[in-house]
Amino acid sequence: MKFMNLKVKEVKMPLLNLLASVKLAVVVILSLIIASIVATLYPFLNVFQTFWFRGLLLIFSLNLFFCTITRIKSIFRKVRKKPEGFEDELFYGEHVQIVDLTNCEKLLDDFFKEKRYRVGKQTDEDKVLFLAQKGFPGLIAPHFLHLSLIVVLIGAFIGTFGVASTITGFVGQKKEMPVDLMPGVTLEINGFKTLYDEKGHIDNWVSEITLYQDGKQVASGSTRVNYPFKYKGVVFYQNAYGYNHLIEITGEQEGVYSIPDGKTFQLSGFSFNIRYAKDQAVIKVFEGSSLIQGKILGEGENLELSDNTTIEYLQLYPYTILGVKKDPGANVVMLGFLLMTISSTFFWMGRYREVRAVIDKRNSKLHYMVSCKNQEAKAAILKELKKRLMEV
Amino acid sequence: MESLQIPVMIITLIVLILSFLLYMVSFLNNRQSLKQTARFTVVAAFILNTILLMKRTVLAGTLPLSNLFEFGLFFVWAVLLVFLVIEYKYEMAGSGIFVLPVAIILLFWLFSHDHAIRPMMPALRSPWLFVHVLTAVIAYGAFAVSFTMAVMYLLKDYLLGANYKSILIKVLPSLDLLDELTYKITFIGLPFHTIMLVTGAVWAEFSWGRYWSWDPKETWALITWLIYAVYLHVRLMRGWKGKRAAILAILGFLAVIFTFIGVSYLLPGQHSYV
Ligand code: HEM
Repeated sequence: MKFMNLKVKEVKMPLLNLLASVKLAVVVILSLIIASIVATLYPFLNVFQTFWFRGLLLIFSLNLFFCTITRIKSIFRKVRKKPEGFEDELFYGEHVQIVDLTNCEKLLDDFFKEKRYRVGKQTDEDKVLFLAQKGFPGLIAPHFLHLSLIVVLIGAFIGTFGVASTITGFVGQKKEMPVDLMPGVTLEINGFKTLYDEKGHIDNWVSEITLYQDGKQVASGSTRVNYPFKYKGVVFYQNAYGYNHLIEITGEQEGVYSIPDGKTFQLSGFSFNIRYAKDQAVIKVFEGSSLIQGKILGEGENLELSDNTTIEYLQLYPYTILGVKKDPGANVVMLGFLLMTISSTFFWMGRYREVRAVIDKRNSKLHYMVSCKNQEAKAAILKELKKRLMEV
Repeated sequence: MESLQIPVMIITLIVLILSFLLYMVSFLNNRQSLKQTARFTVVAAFILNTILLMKRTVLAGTLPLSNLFEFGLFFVWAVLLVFLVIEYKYEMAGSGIFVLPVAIILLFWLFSHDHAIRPMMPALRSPWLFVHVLTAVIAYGAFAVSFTMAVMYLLKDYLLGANYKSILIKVLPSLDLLDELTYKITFIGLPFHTIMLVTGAVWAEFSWGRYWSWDPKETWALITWLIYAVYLHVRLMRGWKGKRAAILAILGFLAVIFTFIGVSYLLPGQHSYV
């Protein structure tokens, strides 16, 4: 058994150490940087979809994971630390001779209270131990950020099992939803509108939709840019839109037609197109390449193209293009984003700082040690502490 | 009102050039009074820039953050803001010679842009825009200043190494302080960049239906973020402070510039309005 254990240690630990190392993190992140640069310069390589890029992301995730779990213990230890067992170490730190022990203790109490430290104190007959800590958010910030990145990556992985599609439909049309998204559901497009702000500029585009499950209405609402519609995990986005025009031609090529906006057609020796702009449909008629007629057409209005051919404008026939998607990982990703944001703010709350002090009653000495990664802050604490101690 | 923008921009530019010259002269002669004047002129340029942004806010009826020009104005504003804080806190007037050219070049470059106030396109009409762009601006301002600290570091390191008897050696702060400041500013700037990426992604989820589409602009913002992450992590390893870290901080800012300007011209994508 002993032998087995030894083996496990020998073989597995180096791998774990490597996976948890900052060195690997630097190498992997540098590789991600290079891959991303190549990907933007040569989009046709589809770098982000390649197997090796995903492999790199996997190594990155494992690296983050092992890095975090191997270090999180020491963070907990710091958070739960008690004022004990550090007196020997402190004898190597700075010390001052003190005359009035009670006053010194009170000074430290006041100092830590004023600076809002969390203070742990242990008193026995020959010494008083102080453990003052502050800035826990700063202490956990990197690990919290790393964890949130893992959450995002997990969410993104789950998202690869999602489905996305687009649905194009004219107002009034009913469309079957793709089976892999919503089997047995029909989508009806009830309306499409361009919204304007008070200055007359386009504010948004909105589609009104209704969903039917096996013929029964189950949901209805609107989707607009930035404000998608959601139903049972499927999200509907206003992606694009367009217009057709319904016209009735009498005379040559008689019939009712739905023609795309701006597309030119030949009729009776002329060419024409209808364009929708600013809530109006404008028809333009050309002979060869020269414009011979232009007219705003309201519903029911006619334009006589030639002696025997007339175009009647029946109505505007808008269509909308909706993006539909089901991303089972989206909420996980959003949670990760929220955690990333919170952890980012932790970085601004100042570095973790710790002051340990021992009042050695026998020798009338105060030993103390300040730790903080921010050298400037550390120097400031030491300076302030020394100044106050001078007063005792 | 709109026509007043260019004159205000020109005055801001002139004031900035003046403060740059004042910093130069004050250093060559080591004159304290001139340093004060130089600092005062930067404050004046900052106020002018703020007025310009406020005026545009009033005219547009919303925070002006919808195109490259407006973002650029905020960028200059943030560079000046971070510089003023550092200059004030660390008495590092020497950095003016290096930081101000960044603001001057940026502002000068903005003159070539369409400065008319245009209606915001629907996709931009979202509350996410403000957090997204404002955090970007602050991050970029911080990175611009950390970049100049890194440049100063490399310059001083070079001058010391080559045994030059340059006045710059005296003018430039100590290598340790420059290294520490490059690090500190990056450390404060990176969380802003993180929030910028996150809010951009959340917004894209609502707007485009995808939180991440590997669009060139977002990819380059990610590249920038990763470069700064490498910068912070190599510093955790032994022997990586100083020169090599400074080079990374410089690369980080080059990535910022490429994300901000290069991508818009060279790599079109969904972000093409900025
Ligand atoms: C892009 C991804 C990453 C980002 C944005 C990031 C961000 C950060 C930041 C901002 C810090 C604080 C740096 C400082 O105190 O100077 C940090 C610290 C650290 N990071 Fe990362 N990190 C990333 C990936 C990783 C990975 C993959 C590892 C795996 C080993 C890692 C390991 C560490 C360690 C060990 C620390 C020091 C923690 C401490 O001070 O207690 N990071 N990270």
